[in-house]
Amino acid sequence: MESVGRVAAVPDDFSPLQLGVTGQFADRHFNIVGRLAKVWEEGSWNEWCVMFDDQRFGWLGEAQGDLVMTFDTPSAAQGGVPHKDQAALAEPGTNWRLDGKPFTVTDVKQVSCQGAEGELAEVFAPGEEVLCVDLKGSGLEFATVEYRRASVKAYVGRFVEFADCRFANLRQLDGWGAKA
Amino acid sequence: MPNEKTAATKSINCLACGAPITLRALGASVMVACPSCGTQIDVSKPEIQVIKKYNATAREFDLALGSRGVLRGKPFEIIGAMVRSSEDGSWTEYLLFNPLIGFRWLVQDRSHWSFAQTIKDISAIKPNYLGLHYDNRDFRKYAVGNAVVESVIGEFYWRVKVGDKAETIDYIAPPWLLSREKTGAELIWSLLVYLDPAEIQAAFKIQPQPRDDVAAHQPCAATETLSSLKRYIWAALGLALLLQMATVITARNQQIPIGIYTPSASHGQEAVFGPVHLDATHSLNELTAATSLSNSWVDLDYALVRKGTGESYEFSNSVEFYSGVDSDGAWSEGSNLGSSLVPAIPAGDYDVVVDSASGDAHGAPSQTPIQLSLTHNVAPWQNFWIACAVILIYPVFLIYRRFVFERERWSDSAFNPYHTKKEE
Amino acid sequence: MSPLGQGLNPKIILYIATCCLALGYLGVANARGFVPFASPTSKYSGTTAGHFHK
Repeated sequence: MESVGRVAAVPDDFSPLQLGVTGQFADRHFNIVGRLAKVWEEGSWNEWCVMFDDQRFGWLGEAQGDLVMTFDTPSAAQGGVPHKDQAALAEPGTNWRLDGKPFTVTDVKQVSCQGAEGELAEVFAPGEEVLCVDLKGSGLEFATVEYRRASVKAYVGRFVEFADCRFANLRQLDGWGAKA
Repeated sequence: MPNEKTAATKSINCLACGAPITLRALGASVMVACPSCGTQIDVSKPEIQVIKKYNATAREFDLALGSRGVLRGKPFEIIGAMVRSSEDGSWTEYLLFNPLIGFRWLVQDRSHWSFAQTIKDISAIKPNYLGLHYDNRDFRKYAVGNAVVESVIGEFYWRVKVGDKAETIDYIAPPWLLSREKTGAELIWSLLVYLDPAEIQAAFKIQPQPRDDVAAHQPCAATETLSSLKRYIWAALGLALLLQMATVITARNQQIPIGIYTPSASHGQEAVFGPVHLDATHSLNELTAATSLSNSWVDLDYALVRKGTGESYEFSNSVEFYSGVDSDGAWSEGSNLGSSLVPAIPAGDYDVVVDSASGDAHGAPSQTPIQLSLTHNVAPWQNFWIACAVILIYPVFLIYRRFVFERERWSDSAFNPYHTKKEE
Repeated sequence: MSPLGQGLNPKIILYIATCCLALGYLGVANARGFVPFASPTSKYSGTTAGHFHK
């Protein structure tokens, strides 16, 4: 667990999420404790570090109007993910198996961090480029495999609807009341 | 954890033409197409940059960027708009945004408006015999086409540009439409729901064009009325059947012989039979005349006259029978059985008065005896059929209206089930 | 989802009223032995089978 304060300026945006927001996922209560601003060639998004009441961590990805909650899943990273060189050439539509479940590659891109604030579950080197493979499972399942310089990480989870998270303590947005 | 102050929308100037642009979904959108010149600008990072420069004239859209409306109970803001076209015409897609919900779409196809959402759980879409099964509904394949982006303004969450192509397949389950779009390797599914003109008018204060055709997923008013009437139709028919069964079961069907009547024997006078006693408080009765004529006819006039009050119920029937042999063989014509229904007779004792006109083979009054009998308290059936007809008039009319509507709906489809099909 | 209400739709009310009238007519007419078209004057069998032999 790293407290990073504000390593580099997190970009300004119109997100209602901020540090201190509370929410619910699968009947478990969580707090948003940190934020990682990720960027790639054609876009950027927020990865919010959330801490559950049982002290476990999750990552709430906020991109293009969608929310996805994923968890660092070492068993998925160890079992059967392709080698980095192979992954770099993967085409969307390719089938991978993660954690015993079937997934399909949707996206392969180079991602780096452009800013961070608050407390994060892992260390990130700003500017380090990471090969990132996004995958879709059955239903709303989602996964990301990140090929770091020294390790491979797999995050497995699913899409969530904003309303289902029952957020509290949201940031005020000009022109939008606190409730939808 | 400090609370940030209220976040505001961001204003930038177009890098190509300098026009001011408001960014309404910063962070969620990745690019904005300048409403004035169409230049594509990357807004996904703090340092905005041009993706592609255009020099287009501003295009008119019915709804302006920044317009807000409440759809299905939730407020949305229009942040982007694009016009797409296919072989069947062109339409407008407005990107709707609510930061506490996400993105939705508003689709305008001439006079028809729909509210749409991208489907995330694609595994819930299953193919079936007619098309697809989704959300407990069967969707029928309606159209296949190719969509091309004609113009773009405002913010989008992917880099849309003029000329982008997609292969589309539409499936309908009115008022729903499932749209499948394939762009390269990417597959996107959307669910559209048809908006009543009143709904879009209330939401965005816009007067929709008057409709002169039927959209693929436009709901049929007759179908909706029929389904809300269904239980009442069955209840009414059931009750009618119950009432009729009660009538049939309680009918006495009592056979009362009246007598033998011979027209010639009466010498043109009335014959009086009876009295017959009719038990039921009110009854429908059937009077039958049975005989075996040979090339004769008899027209009979009857009166049931109530003893005591003198009320008279008059009716008539006739019998005739002709036969012979000609070049084609034996022939015959007519009937030896005549009957009349005598309705609404109150209980009492009645004389049966009979008079006739007749003619035998020689033109004289018929000499053949006629057996007259009365069946007392028979069950009426006409009232039941009339009641059923009245109950079914409106449903039958609605079924006809539905047929006409559906034929119109499918007339624009290559998968029209109303014509003999060449493929599928 | 149609913005029409359920059950309070005037078409439904009118239809229920029509059905009640039809059923009311059926009940009353049957009870009184009434039929609107009482007297066909004779039945034509239309076949060549006669009722000759008695």
